[in-house]
Amino acid sequence: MTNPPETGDRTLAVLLDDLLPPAVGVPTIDAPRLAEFAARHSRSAPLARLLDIVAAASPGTPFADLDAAARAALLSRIRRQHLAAFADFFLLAIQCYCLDPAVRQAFGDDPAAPFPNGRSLPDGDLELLEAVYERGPLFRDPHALTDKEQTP
Amino acid sequence: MAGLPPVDILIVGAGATGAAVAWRLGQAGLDVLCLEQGEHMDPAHYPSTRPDWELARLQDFHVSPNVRRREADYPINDSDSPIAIANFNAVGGSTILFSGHFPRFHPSDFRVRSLDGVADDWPIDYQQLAPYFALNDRMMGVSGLGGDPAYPPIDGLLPPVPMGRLGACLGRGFNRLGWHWWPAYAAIATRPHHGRPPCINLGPCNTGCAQGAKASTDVSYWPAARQSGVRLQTGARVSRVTLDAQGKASGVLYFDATGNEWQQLARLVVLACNGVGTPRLLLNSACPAFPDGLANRSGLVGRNLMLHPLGYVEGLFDEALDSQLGPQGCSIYSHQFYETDSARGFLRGYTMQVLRGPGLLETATSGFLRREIPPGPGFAAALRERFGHLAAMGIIVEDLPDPDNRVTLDGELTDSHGIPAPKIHYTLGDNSRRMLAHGLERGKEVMRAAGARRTAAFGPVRHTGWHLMGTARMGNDPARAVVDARGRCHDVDNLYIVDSSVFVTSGGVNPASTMQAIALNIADGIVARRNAA
Ligand SMILES: Cc1cc2nc3c(=O)[nH]c(=O)nc-3n(C[C@H](O)[C@H](O)[C@H](O)COP(=O)(O)OP(=O)(O)OC[C@H]3O[C@@H](n4cnc5c(N)ncnc54)[C@H](O)[C@@H]3O)c2cc1C
Ligand code: SF4
Repeated sequence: MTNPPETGDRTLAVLLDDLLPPAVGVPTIDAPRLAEFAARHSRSAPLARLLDIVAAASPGTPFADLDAAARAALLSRIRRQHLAAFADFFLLAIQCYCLDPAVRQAFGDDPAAPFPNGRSLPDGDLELLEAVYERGPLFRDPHALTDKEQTP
Repeated sequence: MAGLPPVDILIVGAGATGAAVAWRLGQAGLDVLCLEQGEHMDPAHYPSTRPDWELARLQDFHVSPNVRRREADYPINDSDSPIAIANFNAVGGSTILFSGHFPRFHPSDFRVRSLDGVADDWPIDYQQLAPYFALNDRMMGVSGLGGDPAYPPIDGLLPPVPMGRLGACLGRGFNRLGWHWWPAYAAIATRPHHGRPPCINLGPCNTGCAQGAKASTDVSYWPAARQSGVRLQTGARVSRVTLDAQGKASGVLYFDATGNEWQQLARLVVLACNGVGTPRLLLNSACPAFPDGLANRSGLVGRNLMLHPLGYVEGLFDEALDSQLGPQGCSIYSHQFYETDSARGFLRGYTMQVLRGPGLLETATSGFLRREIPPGPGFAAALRERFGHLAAMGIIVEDLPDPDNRVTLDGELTDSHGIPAPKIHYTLGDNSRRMLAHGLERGKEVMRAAGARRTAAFGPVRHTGWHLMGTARMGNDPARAVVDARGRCHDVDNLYIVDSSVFVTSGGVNPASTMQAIALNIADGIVARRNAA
């Protein structure tokens, strides 16, 4: 079964709202953004596949018109029955989400490319190593072992 | 097919060991040509120059050539192995992707049979290699901290990479248990070194270092090698080593980037294609004099493949560790369980390599796949709880040589030039399994001692077959080894192997430091032999 485009768009929007909802201080991605991301990475197939599965699983009422509890039940069934298709879709959505600059900033990650600015981090307390040093060598030295064996 | 005028020394492969040997031989004034199937990488296009760098790791910078499928890659049939092969094919070889974790073998690693009664002793030892370890450290620009009780003295290191909050937190955990730990040895310049700028903690060292701080050999050895007159030809895929009527190597056949086939003649041939590429080439060079593969009268070419099964341990901390920051594979390490103690239920030992935590995307992906970050209203909160709060550790297990673990040629799969692909046959031995289980438990213990709220551990991890050893082992007895102590094939006088195919045993550490020291030692043997002739 194939979705008419407008139904697919609505379904995708509601799906994203259910699976990756905005949280306190964390925005989320919307359906057009995910569709564009998938197209840019030549990965629209997982998206279309899950929309088809959703459409087939709710033949009477469009998914977007179901109430929250019915949608949750349906998604949990789909997740069990179509494990790979669900995972492919959700991993794609996660990629789009985690690469979104606003989302990254919300998690305290730097949205810029690591290069050329780099990052700074503390050296750490080298005095912590004193205890290790004081316990002394822990490697076997075959030459020393041979000498010892030869000593009566 | 056109023939090319002979060169004095022909090296196949421009990775960790090919580059080191090329430099050393060039320094000695020899006429050297290196053929490399890959191209020069452009650091300006490495993933860390892009905000979506985490995606590249899943695509054209994936560690598996079967996923990456770049033009220079050849497929590897690793479906018969729980561990998939990881490599990179370019000038710099696998060091383009390596993490730069750079510990040496221990002195005891060269005396495995004498000390522990298993496998074999090497025909060389730590003391012989010591000057080459030091030379290689200088060329690569190795950082670390002297005074480590796990090793004989090591001097001349650049200051260690910062351990960060993560390293300090786990260091305290190790201290609580009274276990060894130390800042990592890293082939990462922490100060300007030989024209290379210092590390700025970009993080994803194993997608290429855009800064040039990590010592992939395209930025460490190759500039110096080129300066000393070594010629490097890229886009040249060698299909066979050829023999003359006297049974000596006469050169190689190769395809250039446009698909034309050439014969390059040489007085001496050096193979540096890594522990899978080198046996593949030897097996594909079978001829009437060597029907089972070139230099394979011992029957050991391709056998005794060792891969260092890798275990993964993770700890989740309430405290923010900023664990996503810093050079991905280098922070602190432990050799508490490195030397044999048979009371542990296995022989030999392992490294605990503390890794930096994953980036945001990998945190989310692995959290979802492991059912720790559920889709739905709890997603963002669960992700926040984990990102920057995860400590990770690799358990690098020494696997013992087993002739049934091997590289053969695949009967059907070929590369883009029709050369048979290598096929990997590998299973974990009982000793490795017990060691891995021990390491996973001890890893969790460290995490808990450091304050982790939750721990997880599993292994062997599939896409971690990056240490490729043993497939053309070294030894004095031609019936039990492919090359002698100076890397010369017992069966073919002017054919040398310098990569970690020659390893007799695998040690329990990342092998690049040791293999490059061995390669430099072999190079000096070649020079000495030349001078004596
Ligand atoms: C992701 C990753 C992380 C790693 N991290 C570490 C680490 O932290 N520490 C460590 O010690 N080691 C690490 N390693 C392993 C280390 O990089 C390798 O052991 C080392 O580079 C092997 O050196 P080599 O010279 O044997 O081969 P390589 O460096 O693999 O080079 C072989 C070269 O030969 C070329 N070649 C092969 N066949 C042919 C042919 N037929 N014709 C022409 N050219 C050919 C290839 O294109 C390649 O460039 C890592 C490896 C990977 C992939
Ligand atoms: S962390 Fe350092 S070595 Fe690693 S990629 Fe960044 S600059 Fe290079």
